[in-house]
Parts: sequence; structure tokens; C-alpha cells
Amino acid sequence: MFHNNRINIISYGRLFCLVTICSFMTILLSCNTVYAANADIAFGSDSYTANSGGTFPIGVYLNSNESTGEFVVNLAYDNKRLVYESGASSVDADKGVITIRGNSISAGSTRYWLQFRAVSGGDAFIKVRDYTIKNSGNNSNAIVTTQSKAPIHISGNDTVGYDVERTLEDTSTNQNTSSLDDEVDDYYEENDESDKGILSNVWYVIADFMTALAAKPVAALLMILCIAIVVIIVFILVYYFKNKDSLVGNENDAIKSNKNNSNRNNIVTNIDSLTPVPKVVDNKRLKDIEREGRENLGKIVIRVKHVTMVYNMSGSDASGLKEYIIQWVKHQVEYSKLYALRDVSFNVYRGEVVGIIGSNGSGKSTLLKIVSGALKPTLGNVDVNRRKIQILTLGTGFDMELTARENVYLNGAIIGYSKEFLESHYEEIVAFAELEDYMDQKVKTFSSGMVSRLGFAIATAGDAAEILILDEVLSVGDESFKKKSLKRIKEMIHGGSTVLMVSHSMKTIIENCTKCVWIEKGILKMIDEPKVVCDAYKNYSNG
Amino acid sequence: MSSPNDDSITKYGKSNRFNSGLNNVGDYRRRKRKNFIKKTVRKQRDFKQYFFVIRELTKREIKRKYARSVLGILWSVLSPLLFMIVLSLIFSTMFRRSIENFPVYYIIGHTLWELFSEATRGPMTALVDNKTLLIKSKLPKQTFILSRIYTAFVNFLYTCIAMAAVMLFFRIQPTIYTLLFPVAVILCLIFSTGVSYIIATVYVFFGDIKHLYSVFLRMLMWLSAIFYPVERLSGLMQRVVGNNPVYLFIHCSRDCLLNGVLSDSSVWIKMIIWSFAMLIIGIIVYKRKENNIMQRL
Repeated sequence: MFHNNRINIISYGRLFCLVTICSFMTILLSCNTVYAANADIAFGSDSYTANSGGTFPIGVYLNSNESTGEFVVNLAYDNKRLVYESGASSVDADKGVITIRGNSISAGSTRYWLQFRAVSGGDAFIKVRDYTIKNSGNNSNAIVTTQSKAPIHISGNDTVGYDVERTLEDTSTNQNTSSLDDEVDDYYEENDESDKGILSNVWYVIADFMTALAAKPVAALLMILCIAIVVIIVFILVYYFKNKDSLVGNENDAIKSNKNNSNRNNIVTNIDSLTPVPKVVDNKRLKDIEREGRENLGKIVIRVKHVTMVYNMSGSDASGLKEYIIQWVKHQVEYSKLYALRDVSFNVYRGEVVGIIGSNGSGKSTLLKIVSGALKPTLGNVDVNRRKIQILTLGTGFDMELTARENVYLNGAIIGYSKEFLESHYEEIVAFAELEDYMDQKVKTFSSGMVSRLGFAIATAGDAAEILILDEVLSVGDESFKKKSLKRIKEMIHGGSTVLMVSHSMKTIIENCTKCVWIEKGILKMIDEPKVVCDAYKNYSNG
Repeated sequence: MSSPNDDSITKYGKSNRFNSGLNNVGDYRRRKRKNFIKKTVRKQRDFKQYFFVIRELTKREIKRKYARSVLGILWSVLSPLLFMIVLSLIFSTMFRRSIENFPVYYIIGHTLWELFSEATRGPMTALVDNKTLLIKSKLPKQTFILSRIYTAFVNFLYTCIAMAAVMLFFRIQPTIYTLLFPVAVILCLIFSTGVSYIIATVYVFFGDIKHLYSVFLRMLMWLSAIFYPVERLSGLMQRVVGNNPVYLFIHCSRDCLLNGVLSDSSVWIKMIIWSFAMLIIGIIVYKRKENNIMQRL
């Protein structure tokens, strides 16, 4: 029954996966895009007033949210009306430029007091001409916001007579237009067109691109990041599709060895050879039943083909995640295997009522789950139209905190009824469950019989589903309700439903079924008339 | 996805019928078209049913959450307001210089954070909690995860009422960038979906992850600059926070709602990469383990 196996191979794929994730995180962390220091150059007030002939201070504030690197701030001022006295690092009185420089601005606010003397009346100004503030480490620039200009009103006689600022601007713009850069650009353009051809153009573009990247490390990092993500996604997809066709997991060596082998029968025989299945089913008798079924009923509705279900009972529950990850990388996760079903095959024809019996834990509910599509079998498959299946199990899925009415809607929705259907059939469901007076009470106040009655009513409310799976539902409620539910089920069977039911009550099986399947410890022991199988089962459990 | 909609038997039947009588090409085409229409209608119906289930499950979650409270869903509006008042009392003077409008700053962060934490903490246990329904339902199992995320979203909409009220109170002018807020929320939801898929899967196998994740969430919360200005941190921590996806969503929302500016392009790029990469990884992890999950439950 249990089968241990250990494979000890370091999976380079998995290792690579981890390493990629780690490096991805590192790139993310090293990518300094959002936060440069935020700096701010401001004057103490929006405007100043002064008297001609008097001295006055102007406060220049350098604010920063963290300590920065080197900085240079050039202030332009009205050098005709104002005479600079003290406070800054250097001054060029002829051009009217005051320079403040230093090695760092500490976090918070740093103030420079600039002393001026007014020599003439009129409207003077002081403004931030340009600045460079580097981040700590001096390799990139901080983000700077400035209040660029403060007007100064000086009372007294205006001896200058013209607007100094405007003249300053005029000269400065004139200087700019005749700068060297343009000439260089022109030179490049001419050269490109004349002699170097397409190839050099390409080189030029590439070189240009590289310089642009070098100038913007942020963009470069982002690009690397995008490429890394694309690589990771491609890698994951490839990994995913490569492993998609492996069955339950890589750990399953028996299956792995057969992965390339497309012939399913081969795999089944392989499993068989692994752990030989005692053949109990009488093949001849089985064929007789098959033929009978075909003749009487025609179409196969459920075709269970060589279904084997292996549960991996992982032993790693107790140990931590870290252990698990190490083992995962080493392909060493340890499982013991539990064969819940072994090579089970049978057919169910339309209109048949098939009972499934067997002792507890013999794989009955696993089989129902596989048929209903909740589980995928390890090997083999089940052909069935899963849309037509309706499962009835006892008292499951009720929310104790909700009222019965809400539960009807919730459960109905999950079973697959539409809203309109539930609204029109609500009364019917309630009437069948005989719970008219209790529908607005919470389900936790219900007795277990009431809960199962409601469950049965909801589950059977629809038009008879073509395939009905009943998991121990025919022992619901009191005697009268039992009769009622049995009648309902019989109606459904009569309406052409095919039924698959699990029960421990031999009486129900013998009374209702046309065929019976006995599963013991995952092995199909017998398929035959209900009476024959039940007798055999009784003998087995007694003996 | 493929297994619950397995139509192998019907396909079988169709091909037989086709072989026996209908050799006519026109007939075949008509049949094909009919089948196509039938399939589309069925798909629509399936989708409707899918959404109906999600809505019913969400209704249940919300009813359960407030089962014993008198004010019910109103708590979704009240609790962020109360939190805001408490934190504003303590921190608004402390960060007066760097945060202009502390209550709004906080409530935006809080709302987005709650959306993320609800939309991942809820789905984590979704599969295990609904064990019995999972077996019964023919719907894909993600429905239960998605319904929890939807629950978080509905809750979020209620918290948005509180947020809008606070913004009105402080007379924050809406700008054109306010319209980008839903985009940030959607990206946040996509990201949460990816995370939920992963931790819901892991939770099936390792129950401990519940406790581990709550510690992780706490850490992430402190790294999300919900009630402090990120500028106060050291350079390295700023970088860490700047790459924290949840912070990115919060930051972007603040830019949209409070500052009325368009966030940096790098913020948008990071947000998009984070959310879609997480979604893809989540779906892959979930799909690979889907069958094992059912075995384990």
C-alpha cells in the first residue's frame, strides 16, 4: 500500500529559478528611481522693502529632506541699485552674480543671510539664476524646486532710471544663442549627410543612444529591469509548458520513467507490475454484464477507464518552510504513496442505477470525486459530460451564521441554479423541506434532520439531472421524509436519470440499484447484480 | 479549467451523427454555426452564473463579518474615520512640516492598505474554509478565491465613502488626475489576486503560513509609509519603500487624489510590472498545484 521513494538530484532549473528571483529583487532594490533628495531654494519672504542708503538682509533658505552632496547656487541681483556686502561664498559685482557654494546641505533648512546696501530708489530684484545640487555621493542631481525671484521695493530717488533685470536678460539670451553647441550640431548634420553613409548613421544613432543611457542611469536600470522580467516570464512559461504533461508531480518515478511513452496501456501495465493487482473480477461475467447493458440500455454515460489514484502523503508537514525549500531545490521531498484506487474500470449505461459499496476508506468517495471532476486521476480517465452531473451530499456547505433563506440561495448558486430559477422555485423547495416557518432563522438553530432535509430539497429542486451522484443521502430525516425523498429519487430515475450512489445500507442498494460495484482497498472486486455483490460483501466483512 | 467542462461524450455523439446522415456540406456548416451560437449562449450563461455565485458568496462573507454588530457594514465607513482621527491626533503635529494635509494623507494610505491586506488575507483561507462546497461545485475552484477578493473590493468601496467625505471636508479640489485613481485600484487588485493565488495554494499545504503571513503583512505595512512621510527615512530604506508595491499603489493614489499630479512614469512602470508579474506567477503556481490541492483537502 505504501511506497517510499527518494530521488536526490539537484535541480538546476529550480536553483536557477531561485537565483533569478533573488537577482530580480536585488535589481529592484538597487534601482534608485523615485528618491533623489528633494531640495528647495527659497527667499525668506515674497518681496522686500528697503530705504535708499540703508542696509538690509535677505535670507536665502536651502531646504533639503536629506543631506546632499556639493551644491552651487548662483543668484542674480540688481547690481545698479544694490551693493552686496556679505553673506555668500563669492560675488561678481560687475555681472551682478552672487554665488553660494558648499560641500553639503544637511537635512532640514540652512539659512544664508545676505547683507545688501541700497544705493538707489526704484524696483530692484534678486533671483535664483541657476543651481546645481547633487545627491549625497555626488553622482546624481537632487530634485530642486525654487522660488525663483523676489522683488525689492526701494524707496527714494531712482538714480538708475531703467530696469536692470530686463537688460540683464537681454544680454544673457544673446550670449546663449551664439553658443558653441549649435555650431557643433550643424557640423554633425552636414557631415552625416555628405560622406559617411547609412552605416555610420547607425553607429551615430547607437552612440547617441548609449550616451543618452549613460546620462540617464535611471532609464538604463529600468530597461535592464524590463528585460529581466521578460526573461523571467519566458523562463517560467517554458518551465511550465515543459512540465505540463507530467502527471501528478515530478516525484512520481514510475510515471516519470514513462513520461515519453504515449501509450497509456503501457503505463497501466507498468503500475501493475509495480504492485500486482489481485484479479478478483471475473472477466467473463463482466463481459456478460457489459453486453446486457449495451443491449438493454444503449448509450454509455459514464466510462471509467483504468483509473488509478495515487495520493502523495507528504511527510514534510511538521518541518518548516525552510527545510521544504531546501528539499525542493534538491528534488528530495519525501512522499509516501497511498493507492486510493488501482486500475478501476467500468461503464455506466443510461438509465442504470449503480450502487457502490465497500468498507470505509476503500476509495468510494475518491471515485465519486473523480467522476464528478473534482479530482483528476493519476492515471486513466473518466469520460462523462460533467455539465450533466449533479452531486447530492449530506448537509454540506451550509453556513450556520446565515438564515435558511440565504442558505438556499447560496447553495443553489453553487450547485448551479440561476437566480431566476431559484426565485421561481423557492416556494417549492421550502414546501418540500417542510420548513415554511423557519426560513428566516439562522441555520445554527436547526436540528441536523432539518438541515439535511433542506439540503435534500435544494439539491433535488432542479429538473432531474441526467447523471445523479448520491453520497449517502437516502437516510435523511424521519421515516416519512425518507419515504418522500426516496420517491423523489425514484421519480428522477424514472425521468431518465442515471444514478451513481454510495451507501452502507445493503437494503437500499438491493432495493434500488440495477447494478452494484464493490470496491475494496482501491481495487475493484466485483461488478454484478446487487444481490450477488451484497452477499459476497457480507461474507467478506463477516469473515 | 478544462476538466469541469469536459464535453467528450457529446463530441462523440455529434461526430457519429455527422457520419451517419449528414454528408451535405451546407448542413454541416449550418450545424457548426448552430453549435457556435449554442456555445456562445452557454458561455454567457456560465459567466452569468459565475458572477451570481461570486455575488452570493460575497454577500455571505459580508453578512458573516458583521453578523453580530448592530451597525453592520457601516463599520467599513466608520473604522477608517476613527483610525484617521486617532492617528491625526498623534502624528499630524509631528509631521506638520512634511505632510501638508495629514488626515487625507493618512486615510488614502489606510484605504489602499486595507484593500490589499483584506484582498490577500481573505483568499488565503478561502480554499480550506470552503472545502465542502468545493467538492460540490462544478465551478472552477478559483471562484472562491475571487469571491473573497471581490468581498475586499466591496468593503473598499464603502471605505471610499469615508475617504471622499474626508476629502470634501478638507476641500481637496478634484483634478483631471483624479480619474487615474481607479486605474491604480485595479492594478492593486490585480496584484492582490496574484498574491492570493500563491498564498491560498501554500496555505493548503502549510497551515503555518497564516501566522507567517500576518507577520509579513505587518512588516509590509510599516514599509508602506501609511502615516509617515517617506522622506524622513534613510536612503536605503527609501529605496526599499520605493519598491514596495503596496507603497507604490498608495503613492500613486495620493498623487492622483491629494496632490493632483501625474505620478512619475517609473512609478507607473513599476506598478504595472509588479501587478502583472505577480498575477502570472500566481496563476502558474495555482494551476500547477490545482490537482494536489484537491487531493489535500
